[in-house]
Amino acid sequence: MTNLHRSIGAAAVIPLAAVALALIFPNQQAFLAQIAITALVVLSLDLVVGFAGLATLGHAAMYGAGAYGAALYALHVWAEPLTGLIVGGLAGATIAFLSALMLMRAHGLTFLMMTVAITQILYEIVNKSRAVTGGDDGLYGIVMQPLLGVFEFDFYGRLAFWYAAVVLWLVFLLLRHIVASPFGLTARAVRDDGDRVATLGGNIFGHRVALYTLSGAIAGLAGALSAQTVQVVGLHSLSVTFSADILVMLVMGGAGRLWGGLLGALVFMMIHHYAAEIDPVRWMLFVGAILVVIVLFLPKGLFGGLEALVNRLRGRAPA
Amino acid sequence: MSALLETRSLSKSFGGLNVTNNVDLAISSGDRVALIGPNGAGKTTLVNLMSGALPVSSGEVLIGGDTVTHMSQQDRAHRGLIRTFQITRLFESMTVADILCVAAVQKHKAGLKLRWGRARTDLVERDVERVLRDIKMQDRRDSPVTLLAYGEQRLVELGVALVMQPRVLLLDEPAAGVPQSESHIIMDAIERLPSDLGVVFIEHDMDLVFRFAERIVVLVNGGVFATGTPDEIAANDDVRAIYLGEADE
Repeated sequence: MTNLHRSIGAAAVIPLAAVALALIFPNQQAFLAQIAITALVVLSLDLVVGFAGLATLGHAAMYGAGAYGAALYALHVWAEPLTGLIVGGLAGATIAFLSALMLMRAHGLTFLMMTVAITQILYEIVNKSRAVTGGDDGLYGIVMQPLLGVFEFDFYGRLAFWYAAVVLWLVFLLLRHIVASPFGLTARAVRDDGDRVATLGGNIFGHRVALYTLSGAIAGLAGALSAQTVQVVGLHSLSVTFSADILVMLVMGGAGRLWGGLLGALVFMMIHHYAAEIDPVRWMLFVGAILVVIVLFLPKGLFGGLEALVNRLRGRAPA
Repeated sequence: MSALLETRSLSKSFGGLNVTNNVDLAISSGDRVALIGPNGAGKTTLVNLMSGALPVSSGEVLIGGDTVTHMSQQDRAHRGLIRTFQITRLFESMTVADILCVAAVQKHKAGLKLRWGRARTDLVERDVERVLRDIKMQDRRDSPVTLLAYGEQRLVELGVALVMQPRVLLLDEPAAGVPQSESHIIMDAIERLPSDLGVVFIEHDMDLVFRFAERIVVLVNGGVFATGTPDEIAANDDVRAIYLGEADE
């Protein structure tokens, strides 16, 4: 299989999966839209965790900034979806850039704790700014204009799903291009040994700031999509709990491969959906048990396990 | 003409412990200088100070006559000062070609570029192919580096430095960990280095030092104890007593 075939094949997976999911779950498209949005934010996290090797519990800060940014823009400026999406992306990127200037001077546990601290600070600022953000009531009453001036957002979430799926697809293609670029190659090298890259003249601080900002922009897009399609933004979007959830999804799927983030989000959301139906209180037990099994037996996540299985069937050594 | 690399009264202390004492050193184009000394003499510390991995306590480091004492490692790298490490530091998730490519991307200051572009691809590929030829590893270009023998990894470590086309190369025990029977492969590669390149290398294997060095600097307790040609050092009784373990009887 040539690289071109592989690229076309990879590009076709998300549209085909979207069509399949829409056919399998025709009455649950609002839920499918949530999966697509969650997959988008997990993809953005993969840039930081998988490609830069930085463990963070602060990704909700950028997601929430995008959600609140897009919601405020829709409520007070213009309810046009695509410009709102850009506003959300810019809000996420701005928070990411400003926090990266501090974060990227820290390492390991200090870095992790600072990501938590920044998210908590933002959470409290939004919580206390009731006049602007609605405090713990959040923002509601967001009514979006038709997408491209034509497609109305519907009660059943059909447009929401296709809108989110298309954004996810475009971002995925963009990220595949980026991880194969000089920037992506350097990101992998910095993850493996940042100091070594510095001895070769690489600007590690600048590189990490740029990567974090890019990741923040994508998380902001996801937040904006959520605000526009759910039409409510709450404090949960800025919580450390949400950060932890998406980290769990990434670990489940497998970090550093993009596909892993997509698979992790899909599996986590499905488990959440169905396990919560069985036991609305203790559904996290299912997730916890599955996570333990994956960490113990599939250290590269579900996608890594699938890859190893396919390689074994083809008689190839694992990558 | 100013030296490619120079240190002036370079000192480093950790608390009350002086690990580098007033070291004056000048490396010119084409020099092959060996740094030798007993364990703890401060050889690697001196390389760290010259390359910018450690801040100096006092003294100066100059590259091409310009003071770089407070410059970062990456700025010194772009001025042509490149080092290798005693323990191989390669990017473990990558193939040989990818690793060399990382170095080439940094050399061309393309680490933040989001697309390759034809011209950049050509430059990077040219560098990678040149070095694969130089270290005679064309057949290993797509091998994951973790699957290579340690001696081959040492060659890749050298290759990473060569991609950068440095003016001065600091080699920290380039043959460390390589079986004696294979160390000649590393030294052959070092002998093929460009003749105008200034090379400083730390090495414990005296056969390699005397084969390769044109000048030897003996460090003891962080200071320069003796300096001279291999013949002069070999004939120096003090060096023999302190380092080579051949005290007069």
